[in-house]
Amino acid sequence: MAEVELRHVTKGYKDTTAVDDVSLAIKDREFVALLGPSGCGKTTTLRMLAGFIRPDAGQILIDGRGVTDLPPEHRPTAMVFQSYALWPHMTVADNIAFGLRLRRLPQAEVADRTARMLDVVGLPGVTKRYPSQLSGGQQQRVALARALVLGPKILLLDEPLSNLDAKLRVRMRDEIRRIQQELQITTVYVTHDQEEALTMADRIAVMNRGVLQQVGDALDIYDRPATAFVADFIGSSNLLTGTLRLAGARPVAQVGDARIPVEADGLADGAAVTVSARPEDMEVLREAAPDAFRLDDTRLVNFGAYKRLLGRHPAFGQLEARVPKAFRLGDEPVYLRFTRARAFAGDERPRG
Amino acid sequence: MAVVTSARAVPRRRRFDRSRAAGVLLVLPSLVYLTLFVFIPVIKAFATSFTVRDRDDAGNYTYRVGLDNYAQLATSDTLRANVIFTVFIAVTSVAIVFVIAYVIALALRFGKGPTAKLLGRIYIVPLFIPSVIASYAMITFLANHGFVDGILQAFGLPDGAFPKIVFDWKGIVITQVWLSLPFMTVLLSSVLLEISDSLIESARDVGASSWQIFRHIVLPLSAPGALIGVTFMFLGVIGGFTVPYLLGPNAPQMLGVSMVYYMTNYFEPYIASTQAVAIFMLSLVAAVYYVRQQFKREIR
Repeated sequence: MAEVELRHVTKGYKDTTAVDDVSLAIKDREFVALLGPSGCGKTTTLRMLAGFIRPDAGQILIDGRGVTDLPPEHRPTAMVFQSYALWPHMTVADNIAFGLRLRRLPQAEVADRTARMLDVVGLPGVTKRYPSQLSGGQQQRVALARALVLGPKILLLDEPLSNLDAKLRVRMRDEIRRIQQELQITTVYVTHDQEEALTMADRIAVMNRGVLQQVGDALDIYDRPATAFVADFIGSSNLLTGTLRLAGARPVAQVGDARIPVEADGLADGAAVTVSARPEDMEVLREAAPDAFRLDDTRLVNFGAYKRLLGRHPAFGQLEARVPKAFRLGDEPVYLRFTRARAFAGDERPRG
Repeated sequence: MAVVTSARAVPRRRRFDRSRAAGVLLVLPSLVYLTLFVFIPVIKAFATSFTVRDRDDAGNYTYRVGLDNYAQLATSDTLRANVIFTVFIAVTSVAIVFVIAYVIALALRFGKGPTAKLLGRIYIVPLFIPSVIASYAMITFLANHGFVDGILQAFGLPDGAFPKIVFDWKGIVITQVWLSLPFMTVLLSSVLLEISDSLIESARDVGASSWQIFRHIVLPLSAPGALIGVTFMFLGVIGGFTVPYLLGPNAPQMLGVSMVYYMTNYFEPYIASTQAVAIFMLSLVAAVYYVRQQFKREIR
């Protein structure tokens, strides 16, 4: 059993608020990803969980017990650092055994647990080597073993795969998930890579500028983004700014002199809104139709499995639609229809 | 085919020769300098130390090759005391500087308060004060009836109770410590800065206390760099002249001072050279140790 709870946790530095009133409850054995762009406060949040940073306000609880004032050496958490942080003057075995030796465990038990943990991370037979003699992926596994050997209640990972090449990253992703499942350990994973978050985590907590934007599983986050930022950060979206009109049969967003039908839950008539539509929610037509907008300066970008159609509209600026790989541009004009668009409060684009 | 090959080979070789000539030209000045001012004097000193001067009954000098000078260095109470005194001063000063500099470097690396900041500004000061000035300052400062003694006497210390520091081994050690502290601190600070925060945080994360982090992480990781500092300071103190000359006792003397006396006052260049070789040998021990450490590090 190991649950974690953040209650209204806030941390500020000189002139910025790194983490702004974040509340998040993580269930036992759950794998939660903290996802966001750099500087969004996800690493600060993780370091507060580990005890390296003390929050200015709010509480952190592990299994209902307040740990806010406990230093890292007295918390039942173990952290895997972005740079692995293996001690270069110690062998692999000594790195893993260091925490066990500090607890004065018998020599035989230390050796036994070290070997068993190397098996778990799939790295037997390297005990006598030094970290500099291992590849990045191997070092990552040693770092994981070192964190897990003490049997922590909570595993914290700070962008653990960002220093690996793309292929290895995908493999280690599955490895970390497998180990987490095998040991049934509550895990918090910080990443800026949405693919990592979507594929590994049970739930994803999206952060931006210190504020927790949305917490949900991969489907929630992708299909039902709570804010324009989430809509844009997860996957990609066409983002437009306009005004909400609720007078007609369906809510529409007025963007320039064009009107787009939108989903707008709980927003008032006349509100300034950001409209978000995914490229796959754009229907491509070859002839004019109601609600369809003509694109100029069209071009195609090939992504292998599919293509992206890019073009300009006088009211919206650049628009993007996902099209099949067989799609070709002819001489005839191309029209786009918004099959699904969402309106979010606020007229500021979340980028930057 | 063969013609083409040789036609190509000729300009290539010429280019190679030119770059080699440039390399030789670049090395030449320092090679000439080292030969004239280092290699030849060292060889001459070695040769001189093996030269024995005998005086016959008529007062004429005869010269021969022999180990007599070294025998004198080993058996003469004065000379042997000088060697031991030199090593003692060097080891003591280095040990004291190392401990103080390490503490300051730790404070600079891990301290966050205004004290650490202030310390970071002032520890460097002795680096800009020449050793002659520092030595005379120490004399007026630490002499009996000097500045410190005066203040202590004002607070009730009886006259004559102040320990003998100037013209004693303590004076040399204190001044050497004072002079070498900035260099050692700069070096140790940069060594400690190289240890990344995450290495220390990961140790805390597995439950290490501050002392355990120091003992198992910081100290071993800083050891190779620290040994470089220790070696260089040892070399500096072993061969030092100014400080022991101005602040040291009349007997025993450090080898640097003793050597000059033998050379200029007693007109004994042979014994002086033998002492120079002794300094050289002591330095060699440190140098060999240093090279071996560097070598081990490269193998890692």
